[in-house]
Amino acid sequence: MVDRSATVPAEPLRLLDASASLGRHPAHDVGTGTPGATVSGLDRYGISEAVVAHTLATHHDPVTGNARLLADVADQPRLRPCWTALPPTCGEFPAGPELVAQARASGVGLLTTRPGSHGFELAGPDMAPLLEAAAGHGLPLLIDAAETDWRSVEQVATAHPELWLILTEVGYRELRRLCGLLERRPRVLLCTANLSGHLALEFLVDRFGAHRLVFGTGQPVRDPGEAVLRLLWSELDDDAVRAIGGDTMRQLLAASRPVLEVG
Amino acid sequence: MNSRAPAGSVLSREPWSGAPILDAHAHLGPYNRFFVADPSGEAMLRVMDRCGVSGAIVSSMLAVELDTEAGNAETAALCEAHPSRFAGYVVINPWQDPEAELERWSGHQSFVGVKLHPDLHEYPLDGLRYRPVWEFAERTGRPVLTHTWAGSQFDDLSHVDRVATDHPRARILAGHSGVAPSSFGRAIELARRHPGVLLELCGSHNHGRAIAEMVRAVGAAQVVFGSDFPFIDLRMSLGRVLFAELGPADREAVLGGTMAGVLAGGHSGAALLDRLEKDPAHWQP
Repeated sequence: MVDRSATVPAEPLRLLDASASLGRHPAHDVGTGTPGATVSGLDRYGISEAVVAHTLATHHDPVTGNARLLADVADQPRLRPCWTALPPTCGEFPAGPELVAQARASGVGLLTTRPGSHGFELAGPDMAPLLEAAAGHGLPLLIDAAETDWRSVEQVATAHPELWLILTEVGYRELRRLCGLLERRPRVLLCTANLSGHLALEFLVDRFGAHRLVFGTGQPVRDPGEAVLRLLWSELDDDAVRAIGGDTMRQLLAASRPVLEVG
Repeated sequence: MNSRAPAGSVLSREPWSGAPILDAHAHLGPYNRFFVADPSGEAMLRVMDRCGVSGAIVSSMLAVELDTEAGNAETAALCEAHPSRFAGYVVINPWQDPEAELERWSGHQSFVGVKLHPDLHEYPLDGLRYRPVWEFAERTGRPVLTHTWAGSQFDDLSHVDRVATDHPRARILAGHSGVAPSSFGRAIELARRHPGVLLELCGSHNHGRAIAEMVRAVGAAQVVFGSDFPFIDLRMSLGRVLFAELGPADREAVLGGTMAGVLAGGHSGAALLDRLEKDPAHWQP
């Protein structure tokens, strides 16, 4: 698969981390998690930009955390916001279409959700309007594999076939479950954060195409060196590395259609 | 790639060309609980070449999971096919005649140490059935790599502590250093108490921050790079070490120098070590 001499990239590789986070962490030594510290970290690992959630949203209060996130990235051109979503069942969040409209109006190009930690069902009627609205606006959803189960992912991908669903933190033990899902559901993508099986990256690209994977690190809990070295020293050619490294995710972020366009 | 600021060199996609990298924790072959894309020795060699890894010390998954005699023979075959790249750990299963298995392979030049997996074999690291291993280790100077898992009833770091106390001349690699980040402090204390204990770095939860802390606390002479491949991809652990905030000398020691020194103390005669000892400056894939 390696033929790096055959195609010289027209532009330098610009890594975009699709799975990163700002903020402190209750169970890991990640420092303060300020935007400045995060950007310095990107430089150390050769990463151009990152889509970031905020631990104030993922680990404390999604409403406050999402607002804080927008403020934190407002003057950080290398950081793009990822909102943490809840179902509207208790009135904490607006109904799905309204939330998607707010996200788009705020420049949010990616949603994440934590059904395991936050206590709701990913599949089923509570989240369906949000997922349908996200699908309609091309707004992708990033979800940590540990926050859900394979049956729910399959149900969601089946019920919302236009939704871009990005699974992250898949680990090295799940390929037997994962491959069937990828075969059946073309809009399920994989983030490379902790995609750690031996030669799994090359295997998945060979089987499903580079367009099914997007680069992510899981930082700061995960060491970005894992995902950076895994991709850059892979057996993949430069075109595949560029697609995974950022091009595909940039297209997804750009494709998130402003709400006015479709509303 | 230099040892200071790896990002630029990694982005160039060129393999490592610095001091030799020696993977102290590798395996060979498939594993029943999940799919591994290509667990063959040839694929492992390809990954090593891609990354600039000079050598790996392997133990057979067949031996770890099921059958030590057949699996250790598999390891020997790989090492004989690529003697300058691979050396082996003899896997000892406490339920499959440890003394006979040690005797079978102790004179074989491919084997440079012993691998134990108390969790999978459901037998405590400090149990009587492992006694021949510790006697062998003290007698020969060859290292013992043991799986460790914080909180395990079979291979918690406290088990390593007891064994190291009873067998102070044994060189023990604490595989994964207990795995959980919350155990790394205990691993450091363990290594401080026992100069013969080395902290091995592979696992799903390690981080360059923790690696740098280990090296600061116990010195690079007690910290060794391992990957667990083809169980986990080699590049996961290697990326943490390459980007960790370590000085050049410490990084080179962790990547291979420390392990090479440990193996040299075992005088096994393995071709991999021969090559290292005779021509260390050019010991590249």
